[in-house]
Amino acid sequence: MGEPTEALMDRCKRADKEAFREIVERHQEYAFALAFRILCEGEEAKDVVQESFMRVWIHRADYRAEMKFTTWLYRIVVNLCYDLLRAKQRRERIFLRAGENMGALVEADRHDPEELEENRDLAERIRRFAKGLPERQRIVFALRDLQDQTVEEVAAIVGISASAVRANLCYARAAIRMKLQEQKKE
Amino acid sequence: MRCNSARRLMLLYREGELPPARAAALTEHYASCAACARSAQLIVGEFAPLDALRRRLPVLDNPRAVTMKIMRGIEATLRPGAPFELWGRRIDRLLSLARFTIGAAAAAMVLLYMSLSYNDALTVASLERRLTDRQRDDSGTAEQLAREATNLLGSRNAGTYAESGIRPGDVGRVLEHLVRPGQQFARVTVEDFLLRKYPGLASVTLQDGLDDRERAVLADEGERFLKDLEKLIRKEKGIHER
Repeated sequence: MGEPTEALMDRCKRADKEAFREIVERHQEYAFALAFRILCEGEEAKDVVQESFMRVWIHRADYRAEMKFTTWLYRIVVNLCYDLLRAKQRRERIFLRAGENMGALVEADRHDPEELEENRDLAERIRRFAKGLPERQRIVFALRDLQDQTVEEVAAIVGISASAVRANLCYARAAIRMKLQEQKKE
Repeated sequence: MRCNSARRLMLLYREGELPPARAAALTEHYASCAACARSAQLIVGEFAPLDALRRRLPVLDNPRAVTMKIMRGIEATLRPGAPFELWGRRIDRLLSLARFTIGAAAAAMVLLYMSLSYNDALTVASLERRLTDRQRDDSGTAEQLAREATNLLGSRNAGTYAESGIRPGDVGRVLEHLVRPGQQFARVTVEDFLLRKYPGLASVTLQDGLDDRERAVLADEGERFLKDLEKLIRKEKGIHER
């Protein structure tokens, strides 16, 4: 691995595009994996990645090297995912009332034909585990159990205390364990 | 370490939540206790689908294209005058959100008006006929006419207004002041509905854009307003179908 990301960020502050390109190339796949595991939608996750890096560039002057770059980036990704999940829930709350037809539309949207077969299968599996989990538990689960972040990193990314992360994880894991046992019985 | 403690800690161990010293003691225990080692294996098996999921990374289709798109985005911010454009884009985004909100609110109000006015039109037609008759006979004062209107409108719409939180009496009190032959009762009723139940929403003016207060009002009352509207429409549908 070449120059550390934090040093590249210093160059970005001086409007160095090449440094920024390197940061994007280095982190976009991992950022995508996080967004995908939270949203379970390939295209939406891609949009989140693009928007996240745009925000990194726009707010590059605010970045402080004391924080790991990935923590800062993931915080942006998670916040954008939060916004998207909430907007989706609001939309579904309002429009699903309008009738079954809209429900079918939402369902159709979930199975984007453009999405890679591999991703579709993966999204389906994550959905099966994370279904019914509240937003925060779902995000904490994705960060800790799927992205392998430490509890402290998750706390810094989500902006809650480490004990709150542990509590959320505990509930999420209990729910997921039940689902695993149900699946085993089937 | 005893077997009891080992079994209690197995799950935490699998989840990577044990401090290193305790994790080491547990692995040591597994080496010397076949029963616990078997239980640990069972737990590992139970979580196998989740572990498989962790190992599978979603595929970012065409990462080079994503990088290019991001770089094009930042190029735009480096052009002279770009900061202004950026703010312009942000303002545009806010405006489009405001336009959507205004559109939704306006559509909701039109729907509410239509849903009430159809029902009220029937009432108003018969009310007007009776009021005209009464006036022609010159046998009632304005108060009597208003009371008549109240009873008629109140009983006809009791079901509808009970749902929306407006009592027939409330409608009547407004009408006592406003009733005249040929008056648009439906309009009065809708405005009254908004003013009474959603004073904040009624004060939102849609023509000149939204300020912070109006945006807060929409966020606060908009959802409840839509819920009421939905109830009214459902109720109205029921009335029409009957």
